[in-house]
Amino acid sequence: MSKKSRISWLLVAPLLVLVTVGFLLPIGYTMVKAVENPEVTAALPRTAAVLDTWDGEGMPPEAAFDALVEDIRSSRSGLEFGAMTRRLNFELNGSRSVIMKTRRTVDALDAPYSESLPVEIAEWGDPEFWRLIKTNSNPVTASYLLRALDLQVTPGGSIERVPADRAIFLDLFMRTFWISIWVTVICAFLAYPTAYYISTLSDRAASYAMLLVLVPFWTSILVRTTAWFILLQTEGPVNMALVWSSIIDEPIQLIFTRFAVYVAMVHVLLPFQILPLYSVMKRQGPQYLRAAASLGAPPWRQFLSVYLPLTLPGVAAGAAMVFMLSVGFYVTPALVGGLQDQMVSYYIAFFTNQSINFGMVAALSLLLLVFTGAIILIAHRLIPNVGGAIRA
Amino acid sequence: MSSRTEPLVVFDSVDKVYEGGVKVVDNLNLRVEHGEFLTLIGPSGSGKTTTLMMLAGFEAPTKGIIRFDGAPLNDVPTYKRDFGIVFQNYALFPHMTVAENLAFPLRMRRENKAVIAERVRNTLDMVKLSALSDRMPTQLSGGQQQRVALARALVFSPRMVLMDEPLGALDKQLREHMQLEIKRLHEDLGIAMLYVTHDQSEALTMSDRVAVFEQGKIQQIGSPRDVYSRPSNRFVASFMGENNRLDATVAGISEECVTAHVGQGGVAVRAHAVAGGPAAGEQATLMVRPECIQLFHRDGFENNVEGRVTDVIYHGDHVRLCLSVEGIGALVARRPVVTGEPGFAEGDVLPVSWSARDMHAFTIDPSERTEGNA
Ligand SMILES: Nc1ncnc2c1ncn2[C@@H]1O[C@H](COP(=O)(O)OP(=O)(O)O)[C@@H](O)[C@H]1O
Ligand SMILES: [Mg+2]
Repeated sequence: MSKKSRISWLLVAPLLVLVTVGFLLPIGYTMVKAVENPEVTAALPRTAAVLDTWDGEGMPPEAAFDALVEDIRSSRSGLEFGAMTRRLNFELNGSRSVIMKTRRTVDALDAPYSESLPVEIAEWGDPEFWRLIKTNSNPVTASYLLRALDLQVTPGGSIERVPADRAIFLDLFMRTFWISIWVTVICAFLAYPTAYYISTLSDRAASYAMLLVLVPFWTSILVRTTAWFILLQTEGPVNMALVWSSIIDEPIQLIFTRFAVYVAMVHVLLPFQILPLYSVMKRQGPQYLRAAASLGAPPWRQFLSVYLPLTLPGVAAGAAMVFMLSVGFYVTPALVGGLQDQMVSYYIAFFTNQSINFGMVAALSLLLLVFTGAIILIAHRLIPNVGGAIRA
Repeated sequence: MSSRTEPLVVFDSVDKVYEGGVKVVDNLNLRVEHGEFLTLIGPSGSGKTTTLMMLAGFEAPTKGIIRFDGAPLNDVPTYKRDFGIVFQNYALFPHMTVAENLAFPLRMRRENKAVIAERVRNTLDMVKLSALSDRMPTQLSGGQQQRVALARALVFSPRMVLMDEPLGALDKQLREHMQLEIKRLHEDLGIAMLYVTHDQSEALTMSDRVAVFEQGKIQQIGSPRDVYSRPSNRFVASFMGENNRLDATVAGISEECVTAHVGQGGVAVRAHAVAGGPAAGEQATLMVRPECIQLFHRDGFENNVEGRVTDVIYHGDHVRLCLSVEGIGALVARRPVVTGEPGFAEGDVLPVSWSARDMHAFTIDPSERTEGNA
């Protein structure tokens, strides 16, 4: 390696390490988690081995019953056992209680278990239940990813839509992107005139104006969201002011609405649109507008034909940033939105903290990443410069 | 439409004061005739651009009126003025191709598509850029961008063309080529052009008339020949071209001739007398251009001395001789290099002469007396 290329490597090395450790590894880990399926094999190793040779037709052989009883009797360590019951219950509601009941009864059972077990617990006489265990002794599974798209595998092996009362994820993704798109659009429309105005100010005035933009930027999202939480209360200042000025007769519901989500998210994300836009506008100078005027363009044409196209890269850069950030929003909708205003991150948090289902966490994260990437890619095709570099 | 006797553009006592309070343009009276190529020249900061910007409508005069074809322009916005402007940095729209840049002013005038296509094609032909019509401006060289800017300013047949140092960013060779090209376009199209530059050779080559600016005032306006060989004051003489400057005391004035002693009681030299020049007994600056100094004695010339060559500097097409003249001091002469002619060498003692018509006598402001010779 030449000295020059060694130096280049050294220069990028810290970033490379950071990207690998902080980005590539977690994403890789997430991708694995989304399809990994170790729980059943870990808790029921013998059963899994026997079922591996079973063709899935009719009842499994006697050896499977022996292995199951053996596995359940010896699996007293709670962690693996619990993970397995949660895993099976995720696939088939009620499996958990079947397994728990089995654990309570196996000690009293006598061989041959293929006869004694189904008597105590009817599900063990059903080939479907055995097939469930066989399917999930497979080291990989598509069921998290499918479930994140409101799909599931039938015991017969085909893919079907989940019942309407449990089909929440497609809606959730749609809602997430819908909210994010609106937040992006609103931010763009609010930021454009603001950034333009700041770009026309003298350097001194512009630095004060920028301070006003940046102070909220330096404040934590949680603090800003909490401020909105207080402001938008039914007895809060906004309602009071509206009632006092006789615009409304009595307080209206502001908090826990979609409106509150938009207000708070736009407020939090606006600087991300203003900053790149301002930097593009600042570099514009009067020359192109002057050229357009000299060529006969009235002010509105100067704006539409020249200024807007030349500042669009700033809009695109900011919009891409705002969109990507809002897609991952959690605290703000969680605090000021209602149940119907929650976004994907809310469910990712739910599966992490409440139902401890890392498969779903990974599947939702992965799909969010894929969908967001796809949308940015499409936008990049439609409007060049989205997500691209800001050029002068 | 006004009569032809009215100049195309009239600046009538125009002042421009920027926020800082400095008068950048000071009581400007300037006329541009129909079809004329008028150049504003002057040092940086002398108010040339500001003058152009006021005519273009980007700046408003603080005082005074600008008339175009007899009608005041003050309240007419730029986009209705119909002037083709070539900006120093070209200001080609970076998001449009060359052809789209040229079509822009025509689209603003709601020409139909066929007309636009034809005018764009013809104008690109005129500046020899037809092959590049689909390029983006960033894909062009500086010289090509310059031509596109020129073509864009001409394509809509404007009433006048304004150019602010349009060749400033080009290298010397390209600049000289474009000077001739712009001059050709001016002759072909017969359109009035107001041209700003700080390059005197550019001003002298291209213009019908030259206006020399200093500190927001016109110091002299006239044909290139006038301005160069009959400068009306010290500033113009020293700004346009190179000069030998001698400090002298005026001894006497005859009809056409000023006699002055160089320094205090030095050699007597004769210079051209002009109205408003220095009076007898006054201090004066005498100026004579290096190319006007001959290295032989000639009967018609009023000034004949002897000089010793102290340095010979070779410039390819000419040599510059530094001469030391008894009672005068240092003089620089400029001679063409002619094949076969004997050269000059350090130490040579040569006859030195110049005509009084080529030497100008200017009064000195008291504040400037300490300056040395050029
Ligand atoms: N927009 C402006 N605001 C304040 N001063 C300006 C502005 N534009 C030019 N000036 C000043 O006016 C003077 C003349 O400028 P300009 O007309 O550009 O001169 P030139 O083109 O002859 O170099 C300069 O001293 C410049 O600093
Ligand atoms: Mg200038």
